[in-house]
Amino acid sequence: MMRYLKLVNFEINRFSKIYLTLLLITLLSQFAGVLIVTKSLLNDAKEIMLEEKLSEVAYLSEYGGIDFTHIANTLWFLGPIALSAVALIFYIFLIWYRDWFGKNTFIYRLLMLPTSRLSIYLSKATAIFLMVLGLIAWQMILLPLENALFHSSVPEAFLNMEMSTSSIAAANGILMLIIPSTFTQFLLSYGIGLMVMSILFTAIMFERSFRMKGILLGLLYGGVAAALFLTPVFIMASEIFHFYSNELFGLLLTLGIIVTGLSIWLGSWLLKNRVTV
Amino acid sequence: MKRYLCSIIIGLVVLLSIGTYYVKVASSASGLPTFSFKTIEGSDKELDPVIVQATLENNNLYEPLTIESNMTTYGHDRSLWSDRNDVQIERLIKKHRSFMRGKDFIDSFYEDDDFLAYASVNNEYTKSGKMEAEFDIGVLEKKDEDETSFRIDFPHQERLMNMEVRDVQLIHSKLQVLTMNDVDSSDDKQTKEVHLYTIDLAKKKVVNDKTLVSETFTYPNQVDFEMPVNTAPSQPNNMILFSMIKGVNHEEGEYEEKLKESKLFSYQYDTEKLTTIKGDKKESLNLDIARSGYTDGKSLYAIDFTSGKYQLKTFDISSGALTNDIELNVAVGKEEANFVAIKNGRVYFLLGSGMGENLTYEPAQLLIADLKTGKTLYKGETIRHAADKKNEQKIGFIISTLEVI
Repeated sequence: MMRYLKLVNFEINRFSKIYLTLLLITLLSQFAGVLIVTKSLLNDAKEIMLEEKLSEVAYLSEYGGIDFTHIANTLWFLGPIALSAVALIFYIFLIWYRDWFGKNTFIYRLLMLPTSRLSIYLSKATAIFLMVLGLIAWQMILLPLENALFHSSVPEAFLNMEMSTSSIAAANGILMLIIPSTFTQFLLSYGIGLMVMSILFTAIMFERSFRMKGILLGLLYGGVAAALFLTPVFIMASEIFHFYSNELFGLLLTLGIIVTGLSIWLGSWLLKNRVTV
Repeated sequence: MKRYLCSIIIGLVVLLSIGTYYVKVASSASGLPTFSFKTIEGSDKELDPVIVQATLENNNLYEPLTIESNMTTYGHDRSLWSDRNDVQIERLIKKHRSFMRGKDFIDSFYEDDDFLAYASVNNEYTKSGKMEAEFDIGVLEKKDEDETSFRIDFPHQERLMNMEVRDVQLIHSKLQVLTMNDVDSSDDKQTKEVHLYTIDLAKKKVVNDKTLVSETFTYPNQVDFEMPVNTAPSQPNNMILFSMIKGVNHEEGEYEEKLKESKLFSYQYDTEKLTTIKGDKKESLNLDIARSGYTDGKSLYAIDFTSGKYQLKTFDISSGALTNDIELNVAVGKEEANFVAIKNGRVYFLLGSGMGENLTYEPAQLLIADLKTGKTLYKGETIRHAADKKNEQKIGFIISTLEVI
């Protein structure tokens, strides 16, 4: 257990510089976005009021005020989220391959450790998952602060409505994806994320074990895993059989757990018995 | 310890921040108001079968809510994996779970003491652009849960574009399926038809295809078939009402109905008689009444407001005569949205949508009266129980449907 935790910590520390940079970029870009976009929206409003000789009241009744959804749809706001997502997806691969192709083939030492190979596999998975959740948590901390900043920089008359953090998250497609509106949905979305990551890890293990042939095996495994998980959906779509929602949910949950478990077992088995350095 | 700082911080931040966020979401959801009916007259036992669906607008978020047996449940409280069907389908699923798989359109059902029957049309376009259609038939013998289902080719499918099952009856072990069809035509002419298919369940064959009404028209003219709301669509009915509404599309995109040329029909299943209902006698069933009415296969019920009072008029479908006229004991304001349900020998009348002028909350009134005598069995109005006073003003509430089990 201690070894596993040490390995998790080790993996996180290795990525900490890039990770901190991502956090910082998100912070700066989103706050700058709030200030810049608000300012430009207000300037536009003033310009229109001047051009069309409208009073503030007339302008607002015609064009409406602004709210946080105007901010949340800009590149300033969504850009860093996309960047972080891409970076972590990329790191799912890098977390393995850097050990082989890094400066001093670190994998030698890693595989020599007197610890089970499963903990190496799990520690890498945990590190990535924890960092994903860390980014989400960071966004959850930033949102109310950004919202407060937005409120203080918009004159009351121009403010459409006060939005709560959860309604901001629900009003934006991308935010809704990363911050689901209920805790159950949160568990399900990130559970699916965990399953996908375990499938990718196992595909990487196939490649590391059998090289070129392994790529094919990895792709094949990914396809089989996806097909297995989605079997009930395919059955429904082809109208062979109809499942009630609770049955479909139960089946998907069970299959999801089976696929995740199978992937972890197969991945760590490959790492233990087949991986070559 | 210092070596682990980074991981410990991330771990703590994740737990605290995500935890706090969802605790807050849950507590703000429990801060939403609840709604119930305040009894003014009668027994609140009458409310047990009443289900009101509404929407709450809160901070730009729309929350569906249900008032069932006088208790509020919010959409977000329902589990993700629960089906939401109308109450009649829900009742059938509870009783016949296996038979009801994949069947969810109440007009497609027929139910008596011994049988539950189902008919629908599956159609899809092949790659060559032609349509292929088949009847999907299912019969359940209730006594020993004996299930028969089969598919048969839809007659004359090559000339059709769209077909919709509107009524199913079981008469002398033959299934009668009433459909509304759009005919596929290559020229400008469009044709809409009402068909009655007779399906022999033993032979698994369509033994008769009868065209009840067929109407051809060209744009800008338009023809639509309508049926009054059926209060018990799956019950055995010997009679069915439908209307053919003619209209014209003006160049500005406006649509105008031509009610003088429109017609109301009744069809009797056992005598196979199609009748055009003229409705020229005073106080008899006519097209106007039928369009706004509710039918149970024997009578047609319509709310009338012309005298400045809400009245429920009952017409006998076969004779067209007015058989009952009761006054509903509700205060008349301006003419407002109302919802009607006829069930259990009672009329359920919900007046108002919950939303008054300037989007403020305004109680909706519910009246439950005996269908024959008009005696008021229950009278009440919606009442809002605010859980969070400070937000009260910004919350919008609007009723969308009234259902009765």
